[in-house]
Amino acid sequence: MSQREFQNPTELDERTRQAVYDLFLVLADTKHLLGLRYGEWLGAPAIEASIASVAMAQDEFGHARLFYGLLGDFHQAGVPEREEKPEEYRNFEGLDRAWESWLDFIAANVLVDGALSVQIEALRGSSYVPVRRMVAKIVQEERFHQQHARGWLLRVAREGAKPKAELEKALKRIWEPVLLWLGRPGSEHERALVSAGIQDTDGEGLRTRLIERLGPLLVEEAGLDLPLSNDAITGQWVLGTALSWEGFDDAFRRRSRTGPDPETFRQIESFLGHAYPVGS
Amino acid sequence: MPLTEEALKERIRQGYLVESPEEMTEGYKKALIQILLVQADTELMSAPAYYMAACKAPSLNTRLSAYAIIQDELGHAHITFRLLEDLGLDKEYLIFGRKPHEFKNPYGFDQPLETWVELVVANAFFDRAGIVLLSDPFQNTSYGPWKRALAKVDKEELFHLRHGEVWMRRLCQAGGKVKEEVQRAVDWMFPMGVEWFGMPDHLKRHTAQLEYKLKGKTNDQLRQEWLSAVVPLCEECGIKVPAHYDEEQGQFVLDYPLPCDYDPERKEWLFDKPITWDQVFERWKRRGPYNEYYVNLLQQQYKRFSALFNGNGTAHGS
Amino acid sequence: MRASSPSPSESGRLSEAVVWEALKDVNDPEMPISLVDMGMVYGVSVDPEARAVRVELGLTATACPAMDFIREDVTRRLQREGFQRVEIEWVWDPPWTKDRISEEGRLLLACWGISV
Repeated sequence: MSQREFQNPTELDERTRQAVYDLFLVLADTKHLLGLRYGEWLGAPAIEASIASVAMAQDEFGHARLFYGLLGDFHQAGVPEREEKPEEYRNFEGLDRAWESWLDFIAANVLVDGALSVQIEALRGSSYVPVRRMVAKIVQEERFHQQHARGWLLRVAREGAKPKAELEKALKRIWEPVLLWLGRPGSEHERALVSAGIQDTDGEGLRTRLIERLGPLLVEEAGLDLPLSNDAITGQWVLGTALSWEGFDDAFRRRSRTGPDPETFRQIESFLGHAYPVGS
Repeated sequence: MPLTEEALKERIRQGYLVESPEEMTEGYKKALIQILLVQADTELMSAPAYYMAACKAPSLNTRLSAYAIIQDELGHAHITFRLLEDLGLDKEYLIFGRKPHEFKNPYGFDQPLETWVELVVANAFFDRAGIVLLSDPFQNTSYGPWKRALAKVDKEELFHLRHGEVWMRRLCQAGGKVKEEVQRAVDWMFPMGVEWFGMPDHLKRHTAQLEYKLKGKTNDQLRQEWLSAVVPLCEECGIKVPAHYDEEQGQFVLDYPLPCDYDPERKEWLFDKPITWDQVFERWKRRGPYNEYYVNLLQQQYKRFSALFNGNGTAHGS
Repeated sequence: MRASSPSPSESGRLSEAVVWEALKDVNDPEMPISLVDMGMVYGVSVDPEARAVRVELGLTATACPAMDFIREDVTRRLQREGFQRVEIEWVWDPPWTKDRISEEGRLLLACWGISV
């Protein structure tokens, strides 16, 4: 494990530089799109929830802005800028289109936001100094998201058999893609990130951390039926899902490179080709 | 002994602040509910209108600012609905149970805000109207809880206003097509703001709201205050507005007949078609083109969510 | 208000103390107290020769919608002191927390009915 610190992408070898760039772009796009999705819930089932949704949307945008801000140095170091096309977007695949119901919101709030936290916390002691400086603030802000997610999850799960079953369905829709999103074991990307000390563990390690958090909440507290169980001997949470990596792209962290749907992309496109003086 | 109208009005004249429903007459309570409901609905319905424009934001940063404003507006609506709840009204019904036409927001927030420029002008004009309308009760109202709640609201609206004004200057400095777009937005949004303040004083002077000192200023006074901020801003930006300061009268005067007809489809005021205030009220009652769309946007998931729970409890609570 | 200065040259009075004092005039656009009392000023360094100043600011939130306004207000205020180059760096580490608000700031906020 390298003990070095890096201030600039030029100090990284080419393979690591690309892996770090890919990670930051995945985080930036995912947070950007998560912000868009949260922001759509002006009409949440309670006005307090609408306010919380718009607040969380802003946090996601704020974090996306920080991660996008890291990319400039990479472009200067020769990493080509991506084209502004849907298929070039690297957001988590469950954010491609608008969610149908508030239950999808809760599911993403628990799983997507939760996976993002686990990934970002793994950068806490990062050898890449510019990212390390942002982590504490982001983690601080994400705490509220986890509280919100937990509150709604438990409320719905305790509301009766039907809401609970619907909630399970919503969680299962993104269950596997979220677990995949944390990274494929043994991929070149992971090896680069871990050996250069960019993040403190590999995708398998991140998955373990995520399910250690989710198990007590989803299974024990909420009593939901998900492929997750507690090993009586080791006391550890064990995943009952065999992950299928077919088609998984390590740079995009998704199984298909379709990107956001046309309606969503129109909102991103409004950033391009306008005549307004938006400044820096 | 129940409180008489005269005794209450006398107390208020002496500067007494009403703190709870027990200290109100029926007349006071009715007038208070009416004015609070207009405020709550205005804040609430600005959110979907601003959201519509936020989707056209030209950058992540600008979209972020728009969201911050939307959050504030929802927060203000929430505070105001809570005040209504304290007066015995059902907050949940008010937000999720009413039909679109029952909302009491101004006609301006029944209109589509279709571009970033329209959001900017809305922040400069409509939030200015909000500040003018709310700083009056903030300074003058006889209802204590409202006065205190407005301290936070006032502060945050100032941020929206600054956002609107800074951006208006920025867009106008850019000149060319961008400035023309600002002019087009101002052309329909300025008279919308003027009409917002309602009937002129010579047609309607004494209202319950003034007698109970729920607010302190008349429609014309408030409209003048608004004009004295908005007209100079536009002049500074090189944007034309159909109003000017008249030295002799010592006030702002309009260069078109108020009220006049409006074509919401084309977003166009028909200055050659003067109408009566009764006709204005009819137009307001018919509602603008986006009234239903905005209300549905706010209510739809509540209805779906309640249906999921099959009537065993409501979606709301905490 | 600009303090009159006995120093012979304009650049001679461009010190870090002057910057801190000037920043007490700049309010957080969303709060009724100054950036200094909010504990948002993390550091100041001055190069009097170049009439340049660098201010490290910690925002209360990564999503701060008033970033532009703060930048503008700080720059304008420091230019009034005679600085020609004002550089602002946003600092996230250590993250801003309410503990950074000064005693005076707390009192002011309390007057506004905002509890921290």
